[in-house]
Amino acid sequence: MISRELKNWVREKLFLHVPVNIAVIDPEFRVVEANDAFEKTFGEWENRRCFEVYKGFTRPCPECRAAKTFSDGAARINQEIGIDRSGNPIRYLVHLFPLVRRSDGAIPYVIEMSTDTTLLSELQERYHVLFDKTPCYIAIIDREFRVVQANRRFRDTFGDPSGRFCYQMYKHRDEKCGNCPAELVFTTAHEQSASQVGLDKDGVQTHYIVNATPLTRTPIGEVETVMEISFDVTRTRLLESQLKQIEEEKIAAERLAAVGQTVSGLAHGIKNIVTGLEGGLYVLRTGFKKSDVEKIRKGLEMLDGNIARISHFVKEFLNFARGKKPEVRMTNPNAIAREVHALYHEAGKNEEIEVALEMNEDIADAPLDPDGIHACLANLVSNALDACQMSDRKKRLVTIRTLERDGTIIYEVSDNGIGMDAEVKKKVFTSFFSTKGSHQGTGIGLLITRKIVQEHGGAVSIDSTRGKGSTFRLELPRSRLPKPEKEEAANRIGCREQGAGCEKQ
Amino acid sequence: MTLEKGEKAFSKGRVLVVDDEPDIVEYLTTLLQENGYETEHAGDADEGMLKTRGFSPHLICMDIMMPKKTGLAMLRTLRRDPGLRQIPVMLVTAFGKTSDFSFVQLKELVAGEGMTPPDACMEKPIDRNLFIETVGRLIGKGAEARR
Repeated sequence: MISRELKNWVREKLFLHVPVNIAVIDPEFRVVEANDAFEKTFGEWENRRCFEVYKGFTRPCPECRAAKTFSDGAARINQEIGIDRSGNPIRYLVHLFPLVRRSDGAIPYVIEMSTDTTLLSELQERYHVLFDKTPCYIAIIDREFRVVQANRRFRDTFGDPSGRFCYQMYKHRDEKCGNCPAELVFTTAHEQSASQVGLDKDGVQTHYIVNATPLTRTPIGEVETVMEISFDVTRTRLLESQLKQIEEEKIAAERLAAVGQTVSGLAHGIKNIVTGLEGGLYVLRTGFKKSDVEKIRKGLEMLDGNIARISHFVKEFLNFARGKKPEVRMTNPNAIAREVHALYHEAGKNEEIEVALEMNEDIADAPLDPDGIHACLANLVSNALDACQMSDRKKRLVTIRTLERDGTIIYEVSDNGIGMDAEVKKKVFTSFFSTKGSHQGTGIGLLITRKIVQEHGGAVSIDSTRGKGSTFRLELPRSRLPKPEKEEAANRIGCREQGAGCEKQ
Repeated sequence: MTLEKGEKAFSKGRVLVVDDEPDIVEYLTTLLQENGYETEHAGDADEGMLKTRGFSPHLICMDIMMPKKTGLAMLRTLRRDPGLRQIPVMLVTAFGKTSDFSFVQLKELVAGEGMTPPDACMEKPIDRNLFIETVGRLIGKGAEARR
């Protein structure tokens, strides 16, 4: 019972209700029958020709598929663009097949079943535009490493990939690359990225960063195709290498300048001594001229003293030039700060400058050359005292600070002295002030400081404002510290007795 | 050159030398005395100020980098004192045209504070003739100013 009703329904109603446009066309292109869906899509059809209904034409379409089916009896599928009942363009996929074949072989009707694909087509177009116009290279690669699809940017740069392998396209190679990111995606099914150097279709080197990601999978879950999106970084790389070159040239120039500045610093130190020698000679001559024994004695004394100074100076300078190897052992960073503070605390007091010490007590021992770091800190404190002296401020303060941040041991020496302007700051490690008097030095203190810190893998930086003061900072990343020569626990503190062994003061 | 009343007849003028290096003090004072100047000396800026008040020099030759207070600090004190600001000051220092903290920067520093700059800067090692000539000129200038 039910099956008969169903049969009737299929026979009588399906044609009308099926959500596909169905039209029956005779050899004169008249629409002789159509369903509701067809009428809803294309509008009035009775007594009209198919080309009128579908496309608003007054004569048959130039490439009429129905005519072909009428003549050869073959079914066809075709994508068409027409006009819907409201006059809007519509894309539709149409299946054509002959309805009845009589004994004479003629075909009285062709059935046309069409589906609206406007939305799909739009999406497809959008996808194509996106794919083609994306300003990076996109290639879809199969398991044999063939480029099965590529966007315009890729084709413009690497050429037409049809049927060719990715390694041919990207690198002009005959076999797979060793570090193939696509292969890694096929094996791991995870996204991969790599920096690559390839050759474009003209053989020009192209730098790109490739991001390979699984695209489609086989029914058993294997990665079937990989999408490679690559960004051209040729220009960036070029700029990087230019920048590197400039940087290198700058370093070389700075090195030369540093040599020049060092020589000028050296000359500065020598000037004082030469003045002393000249003075000694002058006093000696005056003594002789006047037969003044006291003057003669004084003159000789001056000559003696300055000859001793110049030999000390030369030794110190040679020490710097030759470079004493740092003697690294496990050392408590705070112990060095404590020593230097003790050394300069009194000196500061005499000159009405407070020397304060602020330590983070949690800093663990580290492989350091305690003498070297001591010399660095002493240099900085000595300079800070000088900077304070030059200042007119009432409360003059030098602070020695220790801290550790993100695995980096930091020593800071701050002062509220005269500060420095940018120009002086730049040159500060080459010669700067040669100080004498109570903080006697030869003017190479900061050069030595930088050298020692660099030997520890660290860096020296300065914050300074003219008139406000300066902060010198020694930053020693633990990961870059040298290996200790001896690791015995006995050497843990490793700092000498307070005040002893210091060449200054 | 006009000397003030009561000065010793043989003295061309009084010069105070302030330097922490005894060798420089000995050298400059000998040189000045040999050229007819009366000298006094001080080893630091505080002593220098004391001697300035006691000795009433016609010229002060001073170093910059000295312990305790610098020559710059002493220059400041002198320039702020209405009774002393007329005394010519000559800086005698190893700073030179080529060193980083040059006379130029020093002058900028001084000018930045609105202070009258030093009257002369002499680079060590000194040119004796130039030194004596400058001393003579500055003492003359000082005398003009005092008149």
